[in-house]
Amino acid sequence: MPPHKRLTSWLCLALLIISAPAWAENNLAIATAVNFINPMTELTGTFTSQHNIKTDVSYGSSGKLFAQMEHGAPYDIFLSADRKRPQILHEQGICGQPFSYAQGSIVLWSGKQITFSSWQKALQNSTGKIAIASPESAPYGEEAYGALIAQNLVQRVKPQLIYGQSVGQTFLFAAKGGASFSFIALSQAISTDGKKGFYLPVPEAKPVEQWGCIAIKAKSRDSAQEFKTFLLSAEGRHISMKYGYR
Amino acid sequence: MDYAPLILSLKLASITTVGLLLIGAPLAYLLVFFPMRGKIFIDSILGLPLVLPPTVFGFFLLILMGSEGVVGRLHEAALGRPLIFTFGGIVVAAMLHGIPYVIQPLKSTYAKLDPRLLESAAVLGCSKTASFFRVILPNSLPGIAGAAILTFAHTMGEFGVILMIGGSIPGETKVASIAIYEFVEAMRYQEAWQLSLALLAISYLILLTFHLLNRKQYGR
Repeated sequence: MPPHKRLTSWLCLALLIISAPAWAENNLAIATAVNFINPMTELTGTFTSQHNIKTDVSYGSSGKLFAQMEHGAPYDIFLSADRKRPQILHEQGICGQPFSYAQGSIVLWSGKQITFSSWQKALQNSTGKIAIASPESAPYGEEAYGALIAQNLVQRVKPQLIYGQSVGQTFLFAAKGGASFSFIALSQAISTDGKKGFYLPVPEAKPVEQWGCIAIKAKSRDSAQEFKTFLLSAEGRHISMKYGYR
Repeated sequence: MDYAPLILSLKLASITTVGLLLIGAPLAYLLVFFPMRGKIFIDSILGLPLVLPPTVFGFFLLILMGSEGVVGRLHEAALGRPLIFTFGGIVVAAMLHGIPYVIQPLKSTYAKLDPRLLESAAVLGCSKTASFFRVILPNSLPGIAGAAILTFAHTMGEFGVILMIGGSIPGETKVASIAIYEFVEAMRYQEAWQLSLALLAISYLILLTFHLLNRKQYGR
C-alpha cells in the first residue's frame, strides 16, 4: 500500500473511533433537570446495582433538554422540573404518558447568617443583589417570582434581581458571586455546599411539580419502565426525600 | 420584538473594541520591539482566553470579581459599589476575554513592518514613543482595522463568560446571545429566530467588511 493510502486508512479508522457514540448502546439514557442531580446520583447507583442496567445521565435545564428531545435527542427518559414540558412532548407523540416523580420546594438562601425571621423581611431589609432563576424558562424561577408577586414585593426588589439560567447557576451567584440572597431549591440548600450557608423557607411559593416521561423511541422500553417503577417505588421515594423532595 | 439586547450587544462590542485597541496597540508594540526576559510566559498568558472554554474563563472571573474575590473587593473599596452583575463588569470581562483577538493580529502586523522604516526613524532622532505614533501606527492601519473587526465580532457573540458573571439583567447585562438562549429555554422559538437572524445579518456584514479591508490591503 502506498504510504499516503495507508495514512488515509489510518485516518478513516481514527474517524470511525472518534465518531462512535460515547455512551454504550444498551445503557439507559436519562435526561434530568439539573436541580435533581443529588438524588439522581444515588438513585441511578442503587438502580444499577439492583437491576444490572447501566445508566447515562445528562443534566441540563428543563428548557434545554426539552428542546433537545423535540429535535430527536436519543434520551430514553426525560425528568423535567415542571409539568408542562413532558405534557407537550406527550402531545407531540415524542413521549408516553407523563408521570409525577417529585415535588420540590423553594427556599431563600444566603451565604451569610440571616437575622430576620421571614424571607419577606429579609428581602425588605436588603440592598444587595437577589438571584432568581429566570422566571420565564426555569420552573423554580417561575414559582419564586410568583411568591414575590403574591407578597407585593416585585416593585420593591426588581432593581436588585439578577437572573440565573437554572437554579444551579442561581445558587452559584450567591455562593461565589456575592449576591446577598438567592431563591433556590431546598435540595440545594441541604447539599454539602448549601449547608455552608443559611436559608429560610418560602411557603408562599407553590411547590414545584416535577414530571417526567418515557420516550416513545426508547431503545429499551422495558428498562425505562423498570427505572420509572423504581423511581416511584417506596425505596425510590425515600431516596428523593432524603435530598429535600416530597 | 424587543431589540434592546441587540443594542446592548452593539454597545458592549463598541466599547470593548475601543478599549482593547487603546491597550492592545501599545502592548503589542512592547511585545514585538522590546527585548524582555520571559516574554514567552507573557505571550502564553495573553493567549489563554483563546484556549480556555468561555465558561471556565467566566467561572474564574466570577470568583475574582465576586464580593469575596480580590478584584471585587478592590473595586468595591475604591468605588463603593460591586463590579460583578453590572454593565461595567461585563465590559471588563469582554476585554479580558478579547485580548488575544487584538494582540495576535497587531503583533503579526508590527512584525511584518519594514525594519528600515524604524531604523530611519531612529537615525532621524525619533524616540521610541514618537516612532510608535509616527511610524508604526500609520503603517499598521489595515492591521489595526482587522484587529478591531475581529474583536468587535468576537464580542458580539460573547456568551459563556457573560452567562457566568452577567446575571441577565435587562438593559444592563442581558446581551443578544443571552436573550436568544433564554428565548429557546422558554420555548419562544419565534423570537429566538428573529433575534438570531438579526445577529446573523450583523455578523455577516462585519465579516464582509473584514474581507473588503483585507482585499484593499493586499491589492487583490
